[in-house]
Amino acid sequence: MPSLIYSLLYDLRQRCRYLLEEMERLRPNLLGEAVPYYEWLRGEIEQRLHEIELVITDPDLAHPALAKQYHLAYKGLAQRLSILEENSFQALRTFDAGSQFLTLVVRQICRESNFPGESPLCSTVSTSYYWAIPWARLIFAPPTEAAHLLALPDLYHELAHFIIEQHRSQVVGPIIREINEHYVKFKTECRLNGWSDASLAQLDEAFERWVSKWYEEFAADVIATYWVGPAFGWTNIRVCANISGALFSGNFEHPADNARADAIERTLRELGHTGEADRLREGWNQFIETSGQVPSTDYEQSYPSGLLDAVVRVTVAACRSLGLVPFLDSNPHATSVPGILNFAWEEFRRSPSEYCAFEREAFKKLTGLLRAKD
Amino acid sequence: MSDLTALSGEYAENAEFVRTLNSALLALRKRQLAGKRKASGAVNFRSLGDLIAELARCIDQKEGVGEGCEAVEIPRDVLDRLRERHRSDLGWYAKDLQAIGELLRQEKSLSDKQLRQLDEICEAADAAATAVFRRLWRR
Repeated sequence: MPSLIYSLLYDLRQRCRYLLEEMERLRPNLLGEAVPYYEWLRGEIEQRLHEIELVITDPDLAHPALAKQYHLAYKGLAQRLSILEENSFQALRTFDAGSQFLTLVVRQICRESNFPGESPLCSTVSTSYYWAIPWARLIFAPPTEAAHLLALPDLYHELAHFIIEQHRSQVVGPIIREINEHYVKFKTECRLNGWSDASLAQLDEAFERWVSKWYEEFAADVIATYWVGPAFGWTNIRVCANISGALFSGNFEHPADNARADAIERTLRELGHTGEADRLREGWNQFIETSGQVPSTDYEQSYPSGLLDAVVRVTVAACRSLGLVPFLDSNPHATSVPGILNFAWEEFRRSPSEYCAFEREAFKKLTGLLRAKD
Repeated sequence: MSDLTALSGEYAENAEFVRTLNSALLALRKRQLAGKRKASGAVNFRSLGDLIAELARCIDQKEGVGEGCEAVEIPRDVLDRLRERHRSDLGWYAKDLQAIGELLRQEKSLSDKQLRQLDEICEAADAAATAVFRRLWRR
């Protein structure tokens, strides 16, 4: 009787082969913008198939002392294939005009921003707003996003996650150092000031969140603002108005919305866009007033001003060292994606009732830009 | 913006760590079974030794704020799981890992106990990767 893992490897091999056959069927009708991704995915599946073959033909596969290692190897292959089937393949199978348009926008953004590496595919099948799988070179957007401009700055936030994943030592290393240094210093002061054990435990919890998850969201916001400027801040306010609950409280995955808005504003100041930062601050304050919320007593302890400044500073420095192109200004005649998106936000804020007509014109401009550079 | 991006990044980080460690462990166990003294060329044992030594350093951090590990290639969840499992013998455990790291750097053989300790790290990393994968899968 063959071992369980041996049998399951055959199942996995069959799934890979099926996927390759299905992709062959997709190929003739695939829109041109998806072809580079198609080729990448085919190579990725063929590589997985090769790895499966290597394990199946490994003479030691049946050795009981190695069973656990082979199981983990199988499991890693199976999980990776699942992600490719359910996301990459699905993105290709549903690649329509909306996905095509946003893929072109992302490609243009990558060109303009000096994004390192291949530009990802964008698929409009998301039911969870914007999100990405950087290693699978995929960005997901909601189905109607290709018809609106105001949320497109979030594409920059998703692309920022690619930068963070691909350049961890340059981007994440300095941030974690700043967080560590800040908390060592702060906790020492707290101890000297006789803080209670309960308060110190709260501080530890905030620190855990910073080094586990929050740093990445802050970094992605800073990089997005570095690239697209105030438009990202306005998009953030819009998203918060749509989905936010407690503006001054974070959860384990995401820091408080107020702290994120604060970091975006600080990034604009770090880049010298003081006027835009002031206007964004006014917009955010107006939103806070509307919500009627106030910060909790431990807010400053969780999101210290000095730490936010430091995170912004080292992330902007990392952007510069990676050669990423920063946002320059909101010139209405700018023929770039950041130029169009910032002008769109200015027009929307100036006259929301007339914005619809403006957006149609702006789309023409954006489409022209994409065609000219394609 | 969605939590899914953070989850997918976390999965990739954990899964890559499992892959690296598991491949190395497979090669080490094969070497042991074949009774060979030298490592096969399939794994870079020196960099694996560096990784385990770094893990030992991170594990050895005293409890408390601000003294966390800055090594970006070691997933946070893996560290937390190992610290939790070895809460009562953290110092000794870190010393054991340091010794394993040094042996690997010198491409020397590991004892059964040391291989089991590498296994344990692999298990913790797999548990971390699987937990994230299930959250992604059941979204």
